[in-house]
Amino acid sequence: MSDTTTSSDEELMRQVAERGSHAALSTLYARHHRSLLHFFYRGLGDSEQAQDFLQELFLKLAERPERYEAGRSFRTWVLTIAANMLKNEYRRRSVRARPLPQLSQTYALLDDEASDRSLWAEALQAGLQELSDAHREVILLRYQQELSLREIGEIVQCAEGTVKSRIFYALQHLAARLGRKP
Amino acid sequence: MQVSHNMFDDWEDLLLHKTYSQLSEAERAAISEAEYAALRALLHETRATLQANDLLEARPETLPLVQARLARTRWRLRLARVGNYHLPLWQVAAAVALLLVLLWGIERPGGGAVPATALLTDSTSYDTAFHQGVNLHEDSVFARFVQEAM
Repeated sequence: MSDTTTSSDEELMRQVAERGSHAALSTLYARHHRSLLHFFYRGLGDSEQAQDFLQELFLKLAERPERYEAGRSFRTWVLTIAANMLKNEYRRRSVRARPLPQLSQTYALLDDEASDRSLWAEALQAGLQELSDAHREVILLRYQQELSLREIGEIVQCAEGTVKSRIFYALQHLAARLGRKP
Repeated sequence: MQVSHNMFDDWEDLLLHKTYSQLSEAERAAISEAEYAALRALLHETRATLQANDLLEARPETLPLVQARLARTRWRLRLARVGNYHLPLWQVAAAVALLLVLLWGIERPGGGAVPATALLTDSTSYDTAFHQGVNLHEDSVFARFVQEAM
C-alpha cells in the first residue's frame, strides 16, 4: 500500500475513485473533517445537525467517488457539495419555517471589554445566523475555509465582483449586529 | 455606513494590513476612522474565530461508517475499471456465462451421456402415440419379421 500521508488531496481522491482505497479516504477524512464539520456548524447553527451533515457528505463521497472530476481541486469540489447541502437545508427550512437556534445573550451589549473568546464566538455565530444564506455562505468560504475569490465564485456560481460585494455587505451587517465599538 | 465596496477595490487587503493612518487621502475620505476601525477589528476577529475549528469533535463512528460504505462501493469500482480497459461489459458477461455452462457440464456425473430430459421426451412421445391409437407394434419391422416367420 502506498504512503498516503504525503500525497495531494487530488491524488488521494483519484485512488479512492479508481480503487476504493480505504487508506486514501482515511487520510482525506483526517485532513478535512474538522474544517468541514465547523463549516456545517457555522452554516447551520446546530452541532448535531452539523455532525449528520459531515457524515452524509463523506458517505456520498464513499458511495460515488467516481463523481470527482479529475484535475479539479479537491477542496473546491468537496466544498461545492457541502455548500449545496447547506442550500438544500436552507430551502427546506424556509418551506417548513423551522426556527433557527435561539441564543441567550444580547450581543448588542458586546463591546471591547468583552474579550471572552467564547462569548465572541457565540456572538459571531448568532450574527452569522442572521445573515442571508448567500452572505453567510461567502463569509464562511472566505474566512473559515480561506478560499480565493475565484474559488468562491466557482462554488457559488457568480462573478468575483459579486463575491466581493457580498462579503463586504455581510461584514457591514455583522459589524452593525455585533455592536462592535471602535 | 456610507462607504461602498466600490470605493475600495482592495478593501479587504486594506482592512487586513493597514491602519487608518496608513490609508491614502482618497481612502480616508471614503470612510471615517471609527467605521474603519470597527470593520478592521471585526474582520480580524471573524477570521480568527472561524479558523479556530476547535468547538466540535466529529463522532467516532463516522469514519467507520464511511469506510464500510466504501467497502460496498468497491465491487462497482472494480467493474468500472474493466470498462477502462475497453472491454465492453456484455462481452465480459458472455464470457462468464459460457464459463459457467462449461463448468456445469464438466461437474455433472456421467458427463457425456444423453441428458435425462432427452430420455424422458422419447418415452413420452411413444406413450402419446400409443394412446392415440397408432399401433407401433404392427408397423414395426419386428412385427413384420414375426409375421414372415410364421
